[in-house]
Amino acid sequence: MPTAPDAPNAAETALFENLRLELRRGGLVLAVLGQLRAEHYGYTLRKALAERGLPVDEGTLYPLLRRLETQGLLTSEWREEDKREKRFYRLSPAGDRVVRLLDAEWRGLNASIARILEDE
Amino acid sequence: MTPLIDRYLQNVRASLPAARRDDIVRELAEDIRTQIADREEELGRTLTEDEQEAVLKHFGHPLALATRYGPQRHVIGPALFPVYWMTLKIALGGALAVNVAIAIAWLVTGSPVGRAAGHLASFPFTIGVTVFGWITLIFALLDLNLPRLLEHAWADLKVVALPRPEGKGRRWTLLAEIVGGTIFLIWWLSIPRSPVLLFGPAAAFLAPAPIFDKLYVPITVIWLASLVVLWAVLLRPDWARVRTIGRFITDTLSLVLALILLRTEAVVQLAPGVEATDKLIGVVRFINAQARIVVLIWILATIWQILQSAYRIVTASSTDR
Repeated sequence: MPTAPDAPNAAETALFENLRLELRRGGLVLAVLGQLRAEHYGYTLRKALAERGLPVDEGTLYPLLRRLETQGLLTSEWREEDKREKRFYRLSPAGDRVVRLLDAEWRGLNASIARILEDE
Repeated sequence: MTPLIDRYLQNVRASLPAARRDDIVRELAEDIRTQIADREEELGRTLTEDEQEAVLKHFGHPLALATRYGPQRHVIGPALFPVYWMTLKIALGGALAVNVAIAIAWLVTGSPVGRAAGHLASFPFTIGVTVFGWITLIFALLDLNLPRLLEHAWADLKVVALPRPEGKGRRWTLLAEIVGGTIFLIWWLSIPRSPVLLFGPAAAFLAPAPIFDKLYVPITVIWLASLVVLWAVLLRPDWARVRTIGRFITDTLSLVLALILLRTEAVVQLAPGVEATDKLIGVVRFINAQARIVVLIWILATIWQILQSAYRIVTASSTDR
């Protein structure tokens, strides 16, 4: 009968947490860019990502949006909605081109890793 | 906006880049307001202060949140950091070994215990900080020029040294070291019975100074210890780490001896019963002055060897990991 793998100890859990964050970092950029093919403001963007299984805290998301905007991948504007001013973000034409490339890269990488892990 | 949220946003604002702070705070305030309104609608009542605090905690510490908006800054980037870290460990380890040797030399030559202990206790705040500061500064400057340096290195591949081959060559070097070390030991152990081995024909009028008797046994012990280490590595090649650590310790002890000699007035004197003519006194003075230069060179060479051993220890421990 196969034996269940040992539960990770505290050091392994901490290591896993670090690696998980590293793994998530690049994926998060792609997810945000992908989600912003439709216009969102911060709050609805966070909700949309969480509904698709990628919760992200505000302290990470808002600075990331600013960085992506500075890099020219997003555009933004303040606009009124429900009688309140909100800052709406959307993918820029450059962002649209980059997200296509990243999407292809992501799928290729995903397929390769899946094959590698299946081989084991 | 409640006073709690106002206070939080003011704290974030204070650390934000000046040009964008109004815009960023406006956006954060809007998100906080929406989150609280949504939650209040869900509960059908206004949020308590604790519940509002829970919302803010999600955004993180005000300073941590604000710094994420700044450009990503570093003194030494990830490309250079491993080399920086290794150099720092080597330099600090080497400097510590040298200063331990200095403190022991002081103790042996009769300096108060307090002076030696004080010297070692102040190491982290004096020499340690200085070594840390200089190395960090040098690497920070290197980091600024890293792209240009890498381009240059890439254009001239000769700068990339090949790893030293393992195997027979190193074994022969080890054997040579053992043979040389054993010959020295036989010579050294014969000196008390035949001073002519130390001074040659000059043994007729020269004799070792009292420091020789004091250091004779320690030198013998250190030399024997290093031979034992060499034999151990010859018989057990997988004990390379023992050799590196053993070498580091024997080099540090050897530095202690050299420093004691540096603090000594004379290493040779006139042999008992020899008349102290001006000429002979001049010869003794000349030899002692020359010996001082030799000791200084010995000290520098030993410090260099200590740094090399520290390098091997540090690189071995990083490849072990």
